[in-house]
Amino acid sequence: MNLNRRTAAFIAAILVLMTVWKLSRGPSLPAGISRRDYEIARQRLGRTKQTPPDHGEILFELGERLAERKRTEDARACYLGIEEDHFEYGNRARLLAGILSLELNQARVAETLFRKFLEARPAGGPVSLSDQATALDWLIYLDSVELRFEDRRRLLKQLHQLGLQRVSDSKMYYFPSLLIWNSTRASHRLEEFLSATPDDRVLLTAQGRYLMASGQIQEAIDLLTRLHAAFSNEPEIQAALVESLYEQDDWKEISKVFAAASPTNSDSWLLSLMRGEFSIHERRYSDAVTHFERVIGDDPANITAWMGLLKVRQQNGSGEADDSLPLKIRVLAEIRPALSRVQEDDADACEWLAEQCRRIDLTEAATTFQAHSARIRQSRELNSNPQERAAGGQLE
Amino acid sequence: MNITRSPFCLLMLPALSILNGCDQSRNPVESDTATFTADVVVRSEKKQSFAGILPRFEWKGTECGLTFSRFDDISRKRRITETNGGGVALIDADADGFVDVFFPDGCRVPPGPQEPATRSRLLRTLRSMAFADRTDSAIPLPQGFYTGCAVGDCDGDGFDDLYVTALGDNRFLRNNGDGTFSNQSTAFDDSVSEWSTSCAFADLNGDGRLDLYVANYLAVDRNDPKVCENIANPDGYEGCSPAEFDGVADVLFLNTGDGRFTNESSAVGIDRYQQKGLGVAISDFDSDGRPEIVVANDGEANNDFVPSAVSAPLRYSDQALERGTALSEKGFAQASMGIATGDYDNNGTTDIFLTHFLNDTNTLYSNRGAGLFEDSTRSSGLGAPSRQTLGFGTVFLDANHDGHLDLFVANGHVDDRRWMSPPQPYAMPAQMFVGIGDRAFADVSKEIADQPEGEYFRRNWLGRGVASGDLDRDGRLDLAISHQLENAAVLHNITPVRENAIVLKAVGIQSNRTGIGVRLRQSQSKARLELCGGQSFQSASCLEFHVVVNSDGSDLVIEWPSGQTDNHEGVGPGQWIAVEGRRLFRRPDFSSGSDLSSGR
Repeated sequence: MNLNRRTAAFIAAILVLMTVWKLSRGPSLPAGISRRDYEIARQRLGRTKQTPPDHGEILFELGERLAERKRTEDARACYLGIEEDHFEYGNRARLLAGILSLELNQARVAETLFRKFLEARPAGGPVSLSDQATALDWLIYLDSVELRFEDRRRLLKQLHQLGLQRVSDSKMYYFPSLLIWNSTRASHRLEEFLSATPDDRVLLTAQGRYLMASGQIQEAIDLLTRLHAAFSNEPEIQAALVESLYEQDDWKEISKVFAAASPTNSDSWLLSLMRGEFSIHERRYSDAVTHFERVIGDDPANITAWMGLLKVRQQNGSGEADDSLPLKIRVLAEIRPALSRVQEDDADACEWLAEQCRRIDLTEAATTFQAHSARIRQSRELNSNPQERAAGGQLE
Repeated sequence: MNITRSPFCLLMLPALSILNGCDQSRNPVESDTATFTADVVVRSEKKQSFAGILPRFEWKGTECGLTFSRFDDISRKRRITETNGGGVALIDADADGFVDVFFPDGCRVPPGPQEPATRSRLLRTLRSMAFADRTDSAIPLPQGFYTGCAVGDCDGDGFDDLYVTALGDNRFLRNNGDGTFSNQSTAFDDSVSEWSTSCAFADLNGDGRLDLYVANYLAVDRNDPKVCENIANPDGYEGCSPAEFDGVADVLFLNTGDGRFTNESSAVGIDRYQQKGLGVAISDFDSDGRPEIVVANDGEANNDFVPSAVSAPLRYSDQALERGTALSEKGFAQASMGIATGDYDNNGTTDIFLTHFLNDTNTLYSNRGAGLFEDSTRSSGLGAPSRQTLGFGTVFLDANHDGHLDLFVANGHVDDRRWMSPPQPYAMPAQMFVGIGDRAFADVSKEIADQPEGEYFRRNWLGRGVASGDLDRDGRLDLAISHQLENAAVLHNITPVRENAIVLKAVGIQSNRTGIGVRLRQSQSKARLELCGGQSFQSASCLEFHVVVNSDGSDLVIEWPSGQTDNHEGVGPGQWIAVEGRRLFRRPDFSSGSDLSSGR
């Protein structure tokens, strides 16, 4: 009996000690975060809030401080330590963690977090339109660096549907193939992403394309061939490999890739373009037309596809006498270098672009740029005549 | 951490590079990416031997009297007027058989009150690749920011005249016949005060006289050019894109035959095209007897001005898109700078090569006959090696006498972007591609640089104008190159070749005296050479044929713009003069005789 009593007392004591220890230790903290930092954040927040801050609030506060101090990884750990259902910061913490992941060059992690943010949980706190736009912006940025233009198009569509599009968004949306993608900066950024995740095949595929664009064709082909061997069914890798082989004018190797990969609905624009060029090379002109028209169906401003159709017409000797074809090419060729002049605050440039779009039946694009132009003019008017506007308001 | 929607200047975002995030154990979100082990990319070393066809060039500079260094008034404001530099002209100023060198120079922008009348230089070529400055006594150019030049005997007096373009009034220097020139700019009814770049003489209306085409570039205030601020650059500025400026219509002058030139741009329909011309070449690409004018435009579709039928009044229409030279095969209007023309594939038609911007390819348009072109950049092997260069002046030449045209390209960026992250190259090495047959080229720049005398190719330059000619009359084509921020250079061709080439000057009688538009072929060969007007960038090459022949003689066919065809049998290697409708004349033996240098 004595023994039992002693045992029970011992167990009770242990339990008490554990409880005290646990209470003194507080909630579990993300890796890299000291209890001292946490406590300072709690106290700081306590001074500004009416009610004691909860764990999520403290982590959010701490994350902000650490991000300011460039302790990026720790800051991200704080944001990710916040529960997804936190009433205020559950969603927003994913967005911030995504941005910090980009700073840490972890492209895929960032992408996952941005997407998670966009699928916001109702219990996870408010999601403003502005935050949505930010998340979309970063995803668009990622897709641009990684040369995922079809994915980017879907995001841009979302931006337009939300009415959040800026002029630059509309340019990317309506002229995805006219903007220069192989910039030195984009390539440099990709290398930074690769430094963090060197096995990421999306990044490696893009790296192959950048290598090709910088004239290192053999290096590109070597890399893409190995990727293709490992992931032979990936249309993006097929496309990138064929593009490099095309640059080297290696039709024999191209035919081998295509022999093992029939056209599918998931073919990228680039792959369809390459199929079109290959069909021309093989003098299968109607197939070429099919491939080029498929690209144009998705991207009506794709001048390379229009050029493909022109090539078919010239080489085939006959073809449909589409008189609008040279005009389309001419106008798109004019638009491409002029896009850099179409800036956020330039109503005239937007108007000009809308007019060019109308000339070649890009009706939706014309409407959008016309609307941009009107918006810019209106905003300029508001800014330039605030007193008049105020007076006008009183009359109403 | 504040979230603001950044002004989405895509990919202009600063690199956020804190590289401490590789510890996977701390990754809070697992990547679902399939793994792929990327080996280090192994550079494929496909060693190719160029023994026997590797051209060799020796760099000639100040030690030979080549003392010209162009002044572009380069400031920290990176004004666009500072970017193009000037060209170079090879002109036999005193008709002594040796080709002299002319460099147009710039001046302050706006011009300062103390500007000298000219800094442009005429350097007379002496024996053994030495040069003597004859500017003061020979070149009466007033103050100006000169850019390009064209050479032609406009009045048919046997002496080459010089047209000099400028940012401002262009000038015409008529050769006095004694190695000096007179400023006779008033012979032109329009001084063309725009920003002119390249220009070209050619007989455009078939009357046997040389007419002139002047490419104009951008509409800028020449005293106060627009600048573009960029706070990211320590200088506070970046070079404005040409897209920031409007283009300017080119100008076409017809030679009236009485010593005057009239601006006929409107009458012939050229003035409708307000584009950004940098290079121009004139050739009868479609072999219909009337030359076309190809203009390389910066960031806009190129022009291929095709004249109306011979019987009709001269009028041009731009058919570049239909003929295939407007855009790259991808449909992109490239930033075209220089033009080289030549029959690189020896099929009897004149092909076109254009130089372009960094991160883009130069472009080779193969003439498939009837003036229809196809983009052969990829198949020729010229695409990839040009993606990391920014090309300007360029010429085709058979540097190694193997019967295939080779290609030289002068490179150099227009804007110093070494401050960027990552930095872009500013000065760049020049490139030499040798024709290896089967419509292909090989980049041998590194191999040339590896030669003991290859220092020019080992160094980086802001290359601009290029002109080719046999400066020392040894049967091999040399190169003259203008730079920015460095002295000009001559590359002396010392390739060990058999003496199997002819250098032939064509002298027209019914046709223009300079021989522009004359075609030459060997009777056993399909290949055809043409003396084209213009070419390169703001430069004028020596208008002579250089062709490899059989050592025991070849039969030559010379077709003159007048329609005259001359056949010459058994023409052996050496220096020749062909006079229209007459026999060939062998030039004096330049390798012996009196020392010309002392008497000049």
